Amino acid sequence: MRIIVNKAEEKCTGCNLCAVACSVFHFGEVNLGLSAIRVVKDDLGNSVSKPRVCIRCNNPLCLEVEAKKDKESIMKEFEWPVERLANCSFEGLHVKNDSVEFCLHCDLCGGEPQCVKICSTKAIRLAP
Amino acid sequence: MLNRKLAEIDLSTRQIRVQEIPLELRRNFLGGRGLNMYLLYRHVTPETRAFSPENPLIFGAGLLTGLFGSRISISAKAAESEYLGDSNMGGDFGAALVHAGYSHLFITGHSDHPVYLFIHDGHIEFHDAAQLVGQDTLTKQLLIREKLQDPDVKIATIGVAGENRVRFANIMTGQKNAAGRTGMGAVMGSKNLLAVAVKGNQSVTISYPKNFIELAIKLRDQVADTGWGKILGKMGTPFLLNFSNKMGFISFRNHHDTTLGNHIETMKPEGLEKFTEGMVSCFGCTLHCRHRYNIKEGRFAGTKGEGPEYAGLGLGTNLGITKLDETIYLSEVCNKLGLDLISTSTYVGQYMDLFNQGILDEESLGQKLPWGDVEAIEGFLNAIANRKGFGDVAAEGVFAIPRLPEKARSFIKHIKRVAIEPTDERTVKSFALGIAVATRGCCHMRSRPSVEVTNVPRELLSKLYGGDIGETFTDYTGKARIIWWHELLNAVTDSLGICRFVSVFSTIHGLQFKEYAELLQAATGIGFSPDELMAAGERIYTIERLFINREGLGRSDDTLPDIYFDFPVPKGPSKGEFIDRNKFQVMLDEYYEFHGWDEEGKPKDSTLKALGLDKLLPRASSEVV
Repeated sequence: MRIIVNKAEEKCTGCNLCAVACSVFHFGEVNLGLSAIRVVKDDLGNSVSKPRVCIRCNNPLCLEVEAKKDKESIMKEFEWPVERLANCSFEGLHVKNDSVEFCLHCDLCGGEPQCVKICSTKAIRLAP
Repeated sequence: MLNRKLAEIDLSTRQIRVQEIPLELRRNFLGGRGLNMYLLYRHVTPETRAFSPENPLIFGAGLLTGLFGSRISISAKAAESEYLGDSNMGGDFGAALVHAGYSHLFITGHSDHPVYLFIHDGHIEFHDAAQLVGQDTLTKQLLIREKLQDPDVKIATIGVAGENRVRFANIMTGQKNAAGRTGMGAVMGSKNLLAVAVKGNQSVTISYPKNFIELAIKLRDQVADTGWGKILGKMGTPFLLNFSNKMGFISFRNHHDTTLGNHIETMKPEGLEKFTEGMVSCFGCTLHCRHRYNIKEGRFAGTKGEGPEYAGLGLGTNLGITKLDETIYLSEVCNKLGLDLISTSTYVGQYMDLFNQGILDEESLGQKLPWGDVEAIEGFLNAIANRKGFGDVAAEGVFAIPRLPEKARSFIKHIKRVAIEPTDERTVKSFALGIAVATRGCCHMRSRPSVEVTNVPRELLSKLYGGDIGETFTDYTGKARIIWWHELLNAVTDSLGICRFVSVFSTIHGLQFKEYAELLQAATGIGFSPDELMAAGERIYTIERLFINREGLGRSDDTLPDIYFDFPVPKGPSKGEFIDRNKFQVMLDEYYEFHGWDEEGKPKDSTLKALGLDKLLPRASSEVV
């Protein structure tokens, strides 16, 4: 299972409710810095908004140096060491608020991603 | 105590004081507009002038702003009227202010040089704004981002009109979100405050996280799945023009007509599709009602941005414009200059009328002003914003009247010194009552019960409003009840930071007191019954009424310009419609009765007591809250 950002990303309207739902689900707080999904919104221009979240790529460069570890259990973790962020080519990992140690990684909310549920335009969806 | 604070900021002394907002005040006034009105009542007197340093410019994010919406109210003694100033805007700024740690800013004083504020994660800094002077509203925002080297800051700013204290200057954020009416931009300009930039990741604790998410999804569907939600998400508010034009609710050429006639063919909102580059949401809203447009060919090629709203189309129709690209272009000119679209449309339309009737000529206006002439209108807008030539007179709004020739004075039509709007309310009696009694002066957003003119059966509407509302929207029965109900709902909606379009505005399925109570419980843990929230709405509206009573306004000011009473619509679908003076007075009596005000429109002592205002208002005024 993984989250897919819909083709051409044209459906995202920049409401940020995905990020609200993520931080509320994981921390009981609204705080975009505590969300594993972030929206790039061009509010002063005409570019479409872009949700950025871990898309669970087939060969995750972010975990390359940890090849021997159990990737499956790592993928279930929400807080990751910040070092993994630098190797992600998809802007899918985000620094945890002002932390110097951790970044946030989408754990699919344990199976039912809240961001997908709350997105009204289906800009993001769950795929096998 | 909720973790959204109030900052007192004195621009003269550069002193800052941060305060918690007592829970008691939250329970009584919620946040946003409600708390703003409490603060305004306590700190602004009839002697306070809009441009005096002691006039507080109050930014108030709603209690749910940043969680499920992004609306923010901005209030002060009004520049447009010198009475109650209050305006509300969407976008992302309100949410970002809450995420920076504040729900309210209470800004007083006057900076000796142009400044902007940078508020980030609780810190408040004063930055020099010399570089921003004279720039348009979009450029100011781009320059601040460049200066702070941060693409994520959200900015509320004024245009040249605000810098020059044009009495109907707005405050803008993003490309088209405007706190438009009553001249808050001019108040900001008078303080030498050119912008407020905000950013932060301060947590807002949610009391019941699981419930909150489930509720947000449920309420999203409740509104987004309605016909209203769907068409709004696809076309934005311009779709309303088809219906309003068909019914004769619009103003074409300064109310000479209430329909576009054959011109609708070139103004059909469906025609906007060719300029549209997708829809955008405000923070935390599921309706995505804003257009991104890009005009790629023709005379206005290269014009891009957001909008227009229905009110933007009204700017066009009121000035005799009959082409969409011209309307978009002029609405963009207003937004960039920082002029309120609605008041600007009305004042300019009135001067065009005066020119076309030969009462003001080219020499006195400094230019020609033929109906529908885009260049002439753009020139006039620039003259107003820069206060050049006759623009300096027009920039005074209603206060220009004494400077006009005798014959011209009656053309400047207003209610409580706020310009009437480019819509026509002679047909729908509830709409007419609504603008006549609105506390901030002529305003459709204090109450506009659009749902009354939809095809919702009258029985269902009567149930919603709790009593008889008459057989049609053209009779006078029960209209006071409708306006009273919406005034209370809208006061609460604005105090929570939720958008009108998500509430009961054009759909009966919109959110109201019951849903708001559920959301507040899940988000803040503060328990309200729907009736308690309705009482909060009454409390907020009553404090606004007390404010304008104290300014000297009463029953005789709850009225309409003469065209509404004495000039029936001459032709078209609403032909013959007007407001009957006697029946209007009966509506007023009923309206005061619903609010618990006396026959002069003053809240009764028993009403103040029932709302707790007898105890809340006399608090010592040495403290801001």
